[in-house]
Amino acid sequence: MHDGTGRIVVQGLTKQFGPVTAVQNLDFTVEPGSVTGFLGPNGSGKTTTLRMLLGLVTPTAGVATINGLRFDDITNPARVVGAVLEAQSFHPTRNARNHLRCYAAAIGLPDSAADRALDQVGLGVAARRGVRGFSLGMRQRLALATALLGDPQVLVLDEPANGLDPEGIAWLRGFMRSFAAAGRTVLVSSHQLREVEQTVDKLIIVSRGQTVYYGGLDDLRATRPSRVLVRADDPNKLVEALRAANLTNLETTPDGTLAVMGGADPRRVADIARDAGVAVYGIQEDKADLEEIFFQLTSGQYGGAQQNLYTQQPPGPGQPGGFGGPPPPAGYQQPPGYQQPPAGYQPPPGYQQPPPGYQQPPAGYSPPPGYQPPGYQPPPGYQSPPTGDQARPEQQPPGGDPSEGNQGGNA
Amino acid sequence: MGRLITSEFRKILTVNLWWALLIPAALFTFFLAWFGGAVGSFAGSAAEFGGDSVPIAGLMYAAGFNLATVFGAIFGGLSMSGELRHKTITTTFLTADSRAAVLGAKLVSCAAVGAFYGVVCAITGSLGAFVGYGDGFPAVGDWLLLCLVSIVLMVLWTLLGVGFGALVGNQVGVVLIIPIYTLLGETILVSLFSEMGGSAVSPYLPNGSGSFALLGLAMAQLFSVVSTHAGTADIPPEVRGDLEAAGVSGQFNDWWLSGLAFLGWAALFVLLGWLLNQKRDVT
Repeated sequence: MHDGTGRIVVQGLTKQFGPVTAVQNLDFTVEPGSVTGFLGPNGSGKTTTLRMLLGLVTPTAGVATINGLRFDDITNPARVVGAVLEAQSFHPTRNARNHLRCYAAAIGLPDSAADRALDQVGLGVAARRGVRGFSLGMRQRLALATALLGDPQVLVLDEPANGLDPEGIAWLRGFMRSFAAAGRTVLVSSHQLREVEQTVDKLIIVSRGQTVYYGGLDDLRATRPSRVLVRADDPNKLVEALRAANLTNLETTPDGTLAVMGGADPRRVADIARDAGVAVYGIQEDKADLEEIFFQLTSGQYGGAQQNLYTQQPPGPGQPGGFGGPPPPAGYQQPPGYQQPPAGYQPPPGYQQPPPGYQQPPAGYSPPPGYQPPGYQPPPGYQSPPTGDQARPEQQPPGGDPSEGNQGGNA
Repeated sequence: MGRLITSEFRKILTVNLWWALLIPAALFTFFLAWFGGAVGSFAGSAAEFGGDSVPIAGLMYAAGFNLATVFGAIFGGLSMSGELRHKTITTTFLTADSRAAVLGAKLVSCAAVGAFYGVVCAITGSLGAFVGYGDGFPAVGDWLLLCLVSIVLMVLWTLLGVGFGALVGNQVGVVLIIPIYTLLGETILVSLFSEMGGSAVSPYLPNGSGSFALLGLAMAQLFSVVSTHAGTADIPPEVRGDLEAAGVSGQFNDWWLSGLAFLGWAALFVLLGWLLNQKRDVT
């Protein structure tokens, strides 16, 4: 007998296909009443994990349970869990209604359940058409209708938005939310965080078959505090004013915009600028983009290459990614050895195109810790800024790139 | 299980395959029973030997029916491999208590379809034999026994197909391997065995046992009439030579042993398919 909780528990799940480890020692729990996103790049083991959960693939090690039972031990499982899987399909000449009637019979439901499920996903008009003529979006809807036939408590969806038009995606989001709001469980996989960002409460991020993040969406966002971007007529003066106001975590982006890091309040920054008599041409709060965090968490799946998100420079170990990945920050707290910008600080040409020092770090330069070569020692020029009171962000996602704290990491 | 059997019947009846395979099966049986197929040439020598009263129709019927069984086997074979091909197997497993129950339901539903194929082909085969050899029919009881055995064989072929399909898991494999093996492969195998002096195994190989169970019965019926007529229990060597040329050999009265052997083959394939079905990763 299952416990009826609607909880999914995955413990130490591992799958080996010959020499390839598709999934490695995965642990997570999916709670009822929430939508949990299961994210990872293509080939990260998401589908294999879901298939193991659903008893379609036998795990090499570990166990996955729904309601405290392995899938194989659930009686009439379609009443407990409905699933839309990527490789799920239909007989091309069997029409949609007949398809559902076949499975309604298997679940022990009356034929009316088939029509109800079709209406539920908006496929009523196509009920008597062969699936051969269905678009990808229609197939996804039919797959969802099949998953919903048994009125399950748990819904497992593998890349359900594939092939759906924007309207269909919006509808799907609403559907998942209301399904979870009814106290049921939704586990939805995707390779795009943006796709599920507005829908999920919790996130499991996998890369190379391993969990790299497991927790709330807000917690993930909190690992990257927002920053305030200011364009001012006299950045140097503003920097001084900000420092005086104890906002010392500052960077300059290559186009000369000043970035106030660490979750500063844009209104406060504007007030400081006004009080200092600095003209502000533009101010903007830049919240952490989850997609970028996700990307950094999962990057390196293929050959371990760190990709630079802002692509002005080829990826390389000498280039820190910075907050949200802009090109390497220019240090306002110039470490020793940094070339002083000319008086009156005009953004030098080198800021449009980062100065040579970025492209070819001087001898003795080592990559910043974000790239974590083993045994890394900070070079002499790379140190806490003179003011000393600014803390490097404590929270950094595992494997993330913490270089927003590396003032003047280009020394 | 009852739910799954209903489901399997619906899967069968909502797709055209069942009648698309039944039509050629019924037609093959009809025309081969009419013209006699491979054993047709034997009709002449049998008539020469036993006179006009020789019940040759049963032999013609058996020859025709034995070809129709291929369609039953293919039908059964596509039951599981078709689901793998169209990836409906995922949904099937997700809506079933167990994989074993799925295969069990497939065996039951396919056995029923096989029985239906058997009845239809028995009727068309009887008609064909009647058109071709209307005056060569045995007693009614004998004919009914012949029909019954052929229907059972069709069911067994279908079940063997289900097991084979679950084992191979590939639709094209099923559609190619079953006819190629039954029509060609085993003939080569038999001639290899004959080279080594093992021609006696022929009625016990998968296709040989399935064929000989019916053909042997028809022969046994025929020769019991002939020997009564001729007053001898032995089959004259020249008649046996004709038969072997037509690919029929063995002890006719052992037809039921072949039937048992075929039951064993069907059981073996079902078992192997069952085992693989339990373990197969559906990706």
